[in-house]
Amino acid sequence: MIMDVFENLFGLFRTKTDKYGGLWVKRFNISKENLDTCNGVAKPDPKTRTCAICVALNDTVFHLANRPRLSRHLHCKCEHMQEQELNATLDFDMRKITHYLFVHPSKAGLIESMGYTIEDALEVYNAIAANALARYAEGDYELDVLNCNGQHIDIEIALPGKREKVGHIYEFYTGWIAYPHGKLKNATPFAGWKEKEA
Amino acid sequence: MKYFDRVRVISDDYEEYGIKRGDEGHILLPEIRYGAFEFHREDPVTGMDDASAAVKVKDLELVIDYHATDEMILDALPLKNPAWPCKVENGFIVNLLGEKANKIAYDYDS
Repeated sequence: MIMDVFENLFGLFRTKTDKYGGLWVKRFNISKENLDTCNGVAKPDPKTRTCAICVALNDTVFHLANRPRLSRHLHCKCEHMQEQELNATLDFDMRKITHYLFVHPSKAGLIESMGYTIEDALEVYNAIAANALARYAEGDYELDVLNCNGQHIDIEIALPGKREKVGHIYEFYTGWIAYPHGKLKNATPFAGWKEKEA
Repeated sequence: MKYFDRVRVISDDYEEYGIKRGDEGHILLPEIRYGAFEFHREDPVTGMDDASAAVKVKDLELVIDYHATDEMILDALPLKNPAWPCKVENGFIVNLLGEKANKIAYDYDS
């Protein structure tokens, strides 16, 4: 009987620590609106008196150590809830590789300087996608602009050189927007070179 | 003017985003939201997309048409919905159903 009580208490404790022990935090507020429901441009929610920026951040998931500041203004209704798992997904149009990176002269010059040609488009796409998911999962990204279009983040990509550039590693940033429930929408596959450390 | 086209900004209204009049860049989302495309400025030195903003259609001019097809645009539109405004043709914002969003040519608020 006494053991049952202890077990129940321990179970309760374990549930609580599991619930609050994750590395990921979902930001939420009382509004039912978020970037998805607003089709990508957050608007103030008059029903709950929630500002556009808080709507833009509603239901987004960030690493505990790298997240937008919680209270952005007086009477902010946002809260954080820790999550055990990150179910990250990407909204990344393959044509940003096949019809942008390898087609527009300024971009094609960059990617071709790494030894890649259009035949390697899928390889480049997969490398960027895999890098982005892995680094997002590690909290290894930089918070960029936050506006009604959402929290923009920059994720570093390390792409190995190909053909005559084998042996080189090219490090650059890709631009993404944090959508609800761990979804990242690609803004640009080439947001800037990583600056070399001195 | 549509997805992936190279465009130029012809307004001073976007300096807070690091985008000045005369800057060139690309349209990297297919849909037009509230009369604006998602514009990514290209750094003329590095070629990288170093700044972005929602830029009103009236504040953009076409530099190079990259001929994105309707099929390509439809596939990238949210929910693949052809009713999204996504192209600017002859002064009209139009969707893939051919419907116009403005009544008077080049007056995008009409």
